[in-house]
Amino acid sequence: MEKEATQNATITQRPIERKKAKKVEVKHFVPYLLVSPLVLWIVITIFIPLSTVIKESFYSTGFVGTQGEFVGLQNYINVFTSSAYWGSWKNSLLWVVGNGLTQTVLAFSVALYLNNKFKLSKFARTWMIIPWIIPTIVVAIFWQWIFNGSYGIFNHVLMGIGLIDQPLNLLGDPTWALPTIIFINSWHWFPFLAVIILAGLAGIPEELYEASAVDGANKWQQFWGITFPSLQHITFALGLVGTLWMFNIFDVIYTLTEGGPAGSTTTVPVQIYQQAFDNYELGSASAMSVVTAIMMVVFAVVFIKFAAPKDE
Amino acid sequence: MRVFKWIYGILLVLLIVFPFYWVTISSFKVPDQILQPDLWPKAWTLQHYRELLFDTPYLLNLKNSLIVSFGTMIVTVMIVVPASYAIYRMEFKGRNFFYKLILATYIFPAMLLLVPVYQLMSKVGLVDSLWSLIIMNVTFGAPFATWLMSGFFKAIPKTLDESAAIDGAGTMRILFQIILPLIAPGLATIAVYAFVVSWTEFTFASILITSDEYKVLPIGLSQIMGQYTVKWGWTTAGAVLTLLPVLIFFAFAGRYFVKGLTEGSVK
Amino acid sequence: MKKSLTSLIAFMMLLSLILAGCGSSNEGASSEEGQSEEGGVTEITLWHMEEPPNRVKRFNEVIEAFNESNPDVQVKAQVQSWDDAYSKFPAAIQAGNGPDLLFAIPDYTTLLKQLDVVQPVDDIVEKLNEKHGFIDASLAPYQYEGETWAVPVFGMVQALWYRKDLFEAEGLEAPTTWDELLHAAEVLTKDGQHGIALPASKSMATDQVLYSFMVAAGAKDLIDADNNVTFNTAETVKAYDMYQQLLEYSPRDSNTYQWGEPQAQFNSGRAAMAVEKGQYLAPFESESGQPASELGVVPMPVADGGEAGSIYYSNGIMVLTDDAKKQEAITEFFDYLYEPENYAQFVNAEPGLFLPVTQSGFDSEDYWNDPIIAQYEEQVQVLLEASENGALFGFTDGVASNIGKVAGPNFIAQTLEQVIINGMSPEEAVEWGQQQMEEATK
Repeated sequence: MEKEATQNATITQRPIERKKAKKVEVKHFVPYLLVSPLVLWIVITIFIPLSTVIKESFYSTGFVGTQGEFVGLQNYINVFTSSAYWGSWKNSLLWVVGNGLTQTVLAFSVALYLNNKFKLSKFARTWMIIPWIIPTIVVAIFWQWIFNGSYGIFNHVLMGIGLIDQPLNLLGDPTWALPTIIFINSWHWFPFLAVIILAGLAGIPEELYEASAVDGANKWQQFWGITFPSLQHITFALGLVGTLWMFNIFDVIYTLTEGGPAGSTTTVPVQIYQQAFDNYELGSASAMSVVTAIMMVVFAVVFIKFAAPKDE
Repeated sequence: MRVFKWIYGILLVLLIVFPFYWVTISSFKVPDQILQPDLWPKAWTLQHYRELLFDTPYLLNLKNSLIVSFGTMIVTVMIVVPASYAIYRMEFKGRNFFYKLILATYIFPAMLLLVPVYQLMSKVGLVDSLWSLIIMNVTFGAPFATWLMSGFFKAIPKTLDESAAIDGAGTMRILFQIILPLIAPGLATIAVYAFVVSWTEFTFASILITSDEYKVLPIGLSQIMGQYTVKWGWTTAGAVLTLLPVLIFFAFAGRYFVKGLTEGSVK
Repeated sequence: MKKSLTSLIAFMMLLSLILAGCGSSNEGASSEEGQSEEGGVTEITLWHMEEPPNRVKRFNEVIEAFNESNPDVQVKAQVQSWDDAYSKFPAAIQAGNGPDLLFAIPDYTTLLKQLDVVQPVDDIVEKLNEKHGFIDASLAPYQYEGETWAVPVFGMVQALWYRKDLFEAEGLEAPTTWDELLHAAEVLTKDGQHGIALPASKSMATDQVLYSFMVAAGAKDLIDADNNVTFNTAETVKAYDMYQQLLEYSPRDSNTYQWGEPQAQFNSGRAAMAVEKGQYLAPFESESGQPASELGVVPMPVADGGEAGSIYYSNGIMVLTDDAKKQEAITEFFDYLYEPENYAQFVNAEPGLFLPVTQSGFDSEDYWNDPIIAQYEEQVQVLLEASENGALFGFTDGVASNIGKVAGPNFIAQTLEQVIINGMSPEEAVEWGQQQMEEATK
């Protein structure tokens, strides 16, 4: 049985018209039965809590657990006129773009490197992913320890080779704090991205490269002409999910700087958290969440419309 | 060019490996030398590890982390496989809607759901239970795991299900007997993915668990770091102890994860 | 074929396991509800936020001893994090999963009171007071609206710590005025060593150290009982000005410092002074390699025209249950806890940081016989003396019910950030701070 199956699997045959198959074979309720556990799971754990957030956004609730009064759209009016909230969008944009660029560059370079077969490539493919498998709090400890402004090895080395004469206060400098956390977060995430890209690279037929080599294309042209376009499904999915992931990252920022110094690393999620749990304004924090979520939906819709691969 | 490539390769290796090396080596330094930037300790000590293992509930936290991670792994596989089979192999009304609904999980910052999720868990009596963590980890792991499965399903020709169906096999039998063995690498991949997502989760673990006997490793670690003193010896040793189990897990499962991804998925 | 079969079987087995697990966990949850008074034993849960392992261990020992001598009551201590105090705790309390006893600091009590679950503890306090004698400063911040809202459990006070070895090397005396303090900081800053280490991040640590300077400058009242903000004064400006000057002699990464970093700098000999509480005692010898006698401490130096004093506040325990049987058990627990020998054990979970708040506690030999306290007796005396001039923002001029709104966003520290990061003058920054606080508390 299995043998047969694998034999069949190797025959690349385009599936017959899907509609037909459905009509003939599949009972109507079966697919619903199959998706329902996951869908219900998500509806219960995400969308039901979300409805609480939406309800809360119309109330003047302050400290968590207290009962606020219905205030209509007041919270939303406050959000739209809040310079702190919109200021945090600037940081969030920098955060998302910075992470996207850093991780893409690192991940592509690692993936292209490991796509060649060499002695340790198999070993390296497995183990390069370790930064991704460790808890965020450990990542934060790693880099706090390395970048420490008083006794970190990073400053010690730079001072040793005479690049600087005063230790750099990376996480305490309003200019450098955000780029530093972007770097730390990218270090945490790029290996995962690299594995996915590696997976995509493995799916590109060798013949394409051979053919273009015959045409005299160099490595650079091959990358943009073959590699990159072949990965469009992956880049699309990662562009969408990855952007949302990065936007919503909270723990690494909060562990390292709590949004400081002087608000320079306060991204939108940090701002919402502080509004709810430091300023005790749960109602307006909820309104911020709703506005943010709507903007994310808009982003997703636009992204899908313009960046989706043609056949998806 | 070759030299450049080598240098670049070495830099990448350093970037990945050095933080691990530096924290590990620091955790073996004696307290009054730990702030010295020596690349190799002048004197070695196991003091920090001894203190952590005997004075803190590390082993208990480890046990909880393992239960939650394996639990998340099993549940994720169990609900993702049927769902992704339906989404990637079947045609039905609302298929696209369900697919988007699942991915929509990532639109909302998880921390904004902290309080409502707490209230929800409380209503069903799951606060302060490892189940609540498993439930939330599945929520945040499953959607991407579903997407990861797409490539594995696409690699199996449609004709297979069809010929089986003509033979009179039911959908369930097709899924379990024919498809499942073929997507085994995919199962390994999403299993590891779910494990890692669960192992690294912090926010919900801190809010949903109150008693010491159910705390997981990242929470234990953050408590060890304490609020009034910076004990780098403990902190670095705690970091090592937190990542060690997942490294061991990965030593066994990592191959299948990367192999599964590169050979089966995302085509 | 064989392999796929195995995986299939494994899969099915796991499935059944999980389902079995689901079923049993539900049962577990439902049976848990009414469990608290099973078999005549009253269960009391207590949440505290003292996470370092040595404190957890000692608290548990004392509580364990109580449980053994009172078989009808089981107190169960659970360690929590202050980080969760503003999100998880209220959510838990509202959902009925909160503890029966909860540790607090004064401004946290004002917030939590809004949930209408904090029980007045006048009876308990009165009884304990008769027997053990609470010091007034520890009790006052919990007494308002005609009731007492928490039982003070230990006090904390800040003072100026200095390295005697480094001071002697420069022929300096311990500073008592701001001029001397500034001078010492300047002289001691050299060769990679810093005169002082001060926190300057947006944190509670910065709030508190800065407030000690405000007290010494004569600006301890920043909000009154009617929630009028009186932050913007010449004295406050003076404190910020001083803090800014001192930061010149503090390590460059001071604006990332919270509680721990100044102490680490101090113990490693890279900083000669720090303003903090009594947690400096226990680790000093092992971390600095110096004998205990080299750890100097004096009360907070006083500004020209200011007054002696620094931040002092007591931690308290709030009672959150109105169950009569539980309250009775809680009374028993408090009776036990404040017995001098038990109390000494308890507060010496972190010797020097946790100061007794009862007269009987001060007077008991058990307290002074603790090895660390005995070793640093002189220093402890200085701390006890300093606590007599203690003050806490929001509780100096009556009790400001909205003080939580000032403490939560760390406005005192944020004002400092305006000076050191955004380049405002202390005058401008304090004016900015006044506006923010007014906005938040209105």
